[in-house]
Formats: sequence, structure tokens, C-alpha cells
Amino acid sequence: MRGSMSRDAPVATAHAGEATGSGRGQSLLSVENLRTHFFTYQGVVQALNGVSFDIRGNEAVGLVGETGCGKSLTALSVMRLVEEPGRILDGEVWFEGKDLLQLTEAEMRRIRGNRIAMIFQDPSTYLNPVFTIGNQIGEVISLHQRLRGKELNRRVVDTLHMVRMPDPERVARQYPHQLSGGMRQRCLIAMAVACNPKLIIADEPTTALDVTVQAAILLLLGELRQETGGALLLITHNLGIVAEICDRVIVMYSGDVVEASPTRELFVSPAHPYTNLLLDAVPKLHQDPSERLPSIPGSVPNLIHPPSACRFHPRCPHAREVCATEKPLLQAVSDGHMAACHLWYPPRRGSWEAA
Amino acid sequence: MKLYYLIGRRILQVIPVFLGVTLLTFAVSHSIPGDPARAIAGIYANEQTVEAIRHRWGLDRPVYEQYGIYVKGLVQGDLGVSIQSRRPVMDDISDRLPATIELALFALILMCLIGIPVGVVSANWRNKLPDHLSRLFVLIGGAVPTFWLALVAQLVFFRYLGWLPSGGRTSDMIASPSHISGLYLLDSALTLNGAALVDSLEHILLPGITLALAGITSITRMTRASMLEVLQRDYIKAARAKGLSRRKVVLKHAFKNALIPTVTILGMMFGSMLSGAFVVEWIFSWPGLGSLAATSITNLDYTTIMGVSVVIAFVYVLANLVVDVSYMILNPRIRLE
Repeated sequence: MRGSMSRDAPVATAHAGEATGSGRGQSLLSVENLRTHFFTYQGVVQALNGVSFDIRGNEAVGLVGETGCGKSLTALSVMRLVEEPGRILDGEVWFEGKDLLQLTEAEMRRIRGNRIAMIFQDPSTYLNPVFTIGNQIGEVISLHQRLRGKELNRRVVDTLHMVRMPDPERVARQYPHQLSGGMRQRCLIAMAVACNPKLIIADEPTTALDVTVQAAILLLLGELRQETGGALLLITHNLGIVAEICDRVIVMYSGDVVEASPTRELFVSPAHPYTNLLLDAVPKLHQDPSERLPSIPGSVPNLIHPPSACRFHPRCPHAREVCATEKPLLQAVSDGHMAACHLWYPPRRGSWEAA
Repeated sequence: MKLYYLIGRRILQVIPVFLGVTLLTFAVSHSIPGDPARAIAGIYANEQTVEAIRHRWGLDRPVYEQYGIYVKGLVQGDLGVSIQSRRPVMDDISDRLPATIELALFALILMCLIGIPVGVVSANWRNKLPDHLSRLFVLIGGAVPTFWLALVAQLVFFRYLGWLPSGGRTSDMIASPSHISGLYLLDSALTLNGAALVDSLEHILLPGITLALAGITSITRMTRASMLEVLQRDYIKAARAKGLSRRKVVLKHAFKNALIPTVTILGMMFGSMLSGAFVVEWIFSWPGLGSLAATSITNLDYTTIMGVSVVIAFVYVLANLVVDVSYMILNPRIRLE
């Protein structure tokens, strides 16, 4: 383990969501104990197992973890777009003073695309092939801002202009298949920023793009955030991207948040063994190219029959007996840095044991 | 601009298809057994008369020459003279074609009006009650043979209930509407002839529904399947993330995409209804192409058989052209290829 381990540090045993530091008052989005499961014929897939985190206004937060750990599902659950057989069983999603999980569907629709917008992974499949770009961007503007006709067209062109689209008037009249991948992603981003949302959730926005285009899109996302002053939740498995544009990082493993930390601190002193191994697996410049990259032994757990307690314990080099019996809570290891691991705070035994 | 260019190119492509159709119908009708000259002359005519007729109708010339004459006439809109009625085949057909087109169009509209919405509803409430009901309907409707349905419909609505006529296009007491398009429903509506409109509607209802039923079930199934497929697509999720209501997402984003395969089926069905309405036309005494073809086959009236085949092929090709054009309207990706 890197970093210092102090048994005397104040133990935050309170509810994980409230322990995230700032509390509900200052955060824009506060997710508490979110549980989303899928009810399949094979069994119940426990995809989100009590996810908690906070995002403050105008903050860029990275949500990282390997494929299938629940990153995208967290975003869909926040948007309440989880499809059957998935169901949000429990939890609270506080946004602008409202618990989104308690809203009616009509109230939720006024949030989607308006207050919280989403950018998706693959711009070639998330754009509808039979409607023009102008139509698809205009749709979200007319829906939330009740604009029509010329005024709407002007807003569409302005929005395309905002995402640095060359020749926006022409692009507005074109269909998705007439544009390049990077331009399509700019269109998806335009749809997301069109109503000036407070929070943009970007679900792997660069995964499907060329490396050179990726850089341009990331630059755009960073610039837009500074222009609009909104918050960004960036879902990715690329730690390099996180290091570049995120203020804080949330690490997920198998449906649990295992670590949340300011970006710099995460890279310098990761607190959770999983994060540690994850960082080891990132290729480094000074590495001998003939050597194999380190990988995390074992495989991603089956979410129908997940490992008990800490879901990482079967793969963890530091696992102890307690890791299989008691689920570690997300607790502060230093100011603003939290981890869910028994290495940091061995759980206290009940008083009956001490007696 | 581009759309017109593509339509023009498509029409040019139709010409070789059309030549192939005439060649095939010509070859087939000349290889069926029976002597047309004998059929014209009658059983009691002597050999000399038959020979004279053969010469007069050009039947003694080489087959390729006959084909040349036929195609030459065809280009000028001349399909030859009917052996049976001794009238130009074109006249016989143009008397009957509007009736068939009206029936097929009526059935087609029923298919769209019933099949598409039921398919959409079925997909939207997948595995719920509306879906179960629609699937039951598809199963039963698809299993019922047309001739049986036609007879039962006649029995129930004409014989027992007495609500609808048993056949024909109009009642004797009511004059046919003035001839504009030849489609009675359209003509009577255009001339504001209420009595004729009601009368035509009463007559077309049973044959129309009978003809449409099998198509309705296919369209329902097709629409349901393609809606279900489209609803899984990523752009549906993106549309929901914009804050659109589920209804708007289904009716705008999913529907237009799901319609593409349905339109293909509709075009093919229209073509097959023109030629395949024999049974329905026969049972309901509908004076259309189907019954004309049926009588000309039994009478060995081969000029009429060929004429009907060529006209049906022509309409079929036309229907496919309409499908292609509607593709271009529905799917912008095709326009550029």
C-alpha cells in the first residue's frame, strides 16, 4: 500500500452518502445508496450495490472502472432510463433539492435534456438516421424552451456553432450519415448542451472515435464546461483522460464505489488495492516495452452470485478474513479522499466480543 | 433534384424488366396445349376455315415474328384482339382494371389503417394484454383461407343478417357514378353523389375485408417485429435522454425507422392483390381483372391471358417503383447511394 495508514485518524462511520464531505447542501448531485438490479431468468443481477457519491456544481468528476462495473448503469439510473428487466430498488438521487427517484415521469422528463443531459458513447448509433441534425437538435430545444420556427432554427445553428461545428447552417440540414465520426459526436454534444444543463453526463464520449478526434472532443468538453459553468460526470475506463480533465475521480468495482478522491491524490496515493492495481496496469513511458503489462489476477465477478462482503476480496492481494464477511464502508482516509477498504479501518468488533 | 434523377433512373431500369415479362408471358402462352385458331373457329368449323383463321390472325408465321408484331403493338398500347369477345384486349382490360385497382387499393388502405397501428400497439405493450390479443388475431387471421372467409362473410352478412350485398360493384337501382377515374368510391365522392358512395362502399366492404385480412396479419407482424427491433436501438435511448415522452419517442423516432420494411411488404402485397384476387373477385362477382383472367383461361383466349399478364406485371413494376420512391423519402441514406 502506498500512502500512510493511521489508526488514529477520525473514523467517519456515518452513512456513506453524508460522509462524502460537502453534504447535500453544497452538492449539485448527491447519489445515496443507489441499488439497481436486473431480474433475469438466470437470476437477479445485482448490478448496482448501494452506490453513493456527490458532484458539486461546476466540478468535473471522472467515474472509472472496468467494463461491467456499473458506470453506465449509474448514469442511466440517475436519468431514470433503466429499461426492463432492470429496476432501481433503493436509494436517493438528490439534484437541485429534489430526489429524482421520487418524481413523476412527467416531472422527470423536464429534467432530462434540460437540467441533466447525457452524451453517449457511439455517435453513429445514438443519432437517429432518418432525421436531420437540425431536427434532432431543434427537438430538444423546442421541447424545453418552447421555441418555434425561425427562432428555433437560429438557436440550432448557434448551438452547432457553440460546439465548433464548421458550416453549422449546412450541417443542420444534413443527415447523420453525411457527417464524420467527430462531427457526429459534436452533434450529440450539441444536443446535450442545447438547453444549458447544470450537469452533463458523458458516457465514454471518445471511445468510438479516432485518437486525434478524441483529443479534440475532450478539449471541447473542457472548454464548454468553462463557458457554461456546469458540472461534468465523465464515465470512462481511460485513466489518462481522467487525469487530463477531471477534478475528482470516483472508482467503481462490481457495482460498488470503492474510492473517491481528488484526481491528483488518486494518482499519487491510491487508497484502495483495486485502484492501486488499476494504476499499475496503465502503460508507462519509461517501461521496458518487451515486458508484459501488469494485470489484475482473476476475473470480473459474476453479478448474479457476487463475492460476499467486499466484492474485490477474491482478487485482492491484501485480503483478510474480515473482507469476506463484512462489507467495508466508504470512509475518509484523508481530507476529501475516501475508500471502502478494511485495510484502512478495520471494523470494530461488537462490544459483546470485547467484553 | 437528386430525388427526381433517381426516380428517372429507376424508370429506365424498368424497361428491360418489362421486356423480360413480355417474353416470358409470350413463351408460356405459346407453349400451353390447345390451338387458338380452332378455339376461334369453333368445334364444328372445317380445316379450311381454321387454316384461314390461322392465316388471318398471323398464327402461321414464325414465333419470333409473332413476338415482334406483339411487342410493336404493345409499344403503341395495342394488346391485340380478344378471341373471346372480339374486342381489343386493351378495351376489355381498361373496363375491368379500375374495379381491380379499387378493390386492391381499398384492401391496401385497410391493411395500413389496421395492420400498422395494431403492430405499433403490440410492440409498445409487448407481452401485455394488447400484444396477446394482437398475436391471437394474427394467428387466426393468417390461418383462415381466403375462399372460406369469403363464403362465410357472404353467408353471415348477406344471407343471415342481410346487411350487405352478396356481390357486384353496384346495385341495379342506383346508377354508377359518372366516370372520372373508374374508381366508384372516388368518383362518387368527387361528384358528391352520396347515394352512389354508400352503395359502392356497401359493395366493396366484404370483398375488401376478405382480401385484406391475410395482408393485415402480415403487416401487423412485420410492423411489430421491426418496431421491437428499432425500440432497442441506441438512438431511442438518446431520444428518451432528451426528455421526450415515450409516446413521442415511439411515434416519431421509432415509427419512421420501423416503417421501412413494412413499406416493402405493402408494395409486394399490392402487386399480388392485383393478380391474386381471382378467388375473391370470383366469389363476390367483382368485375375485375381476376375474373377476366379466369374466364379467358377457361376459354383459351390467349391474347387476353397475355394482355392481363402484361398489365399486371406493369402494375407490379409500378408498385415497386412507388416502394422505391417511398424508401428514398423514409430513408435518407438511400438517396445518396
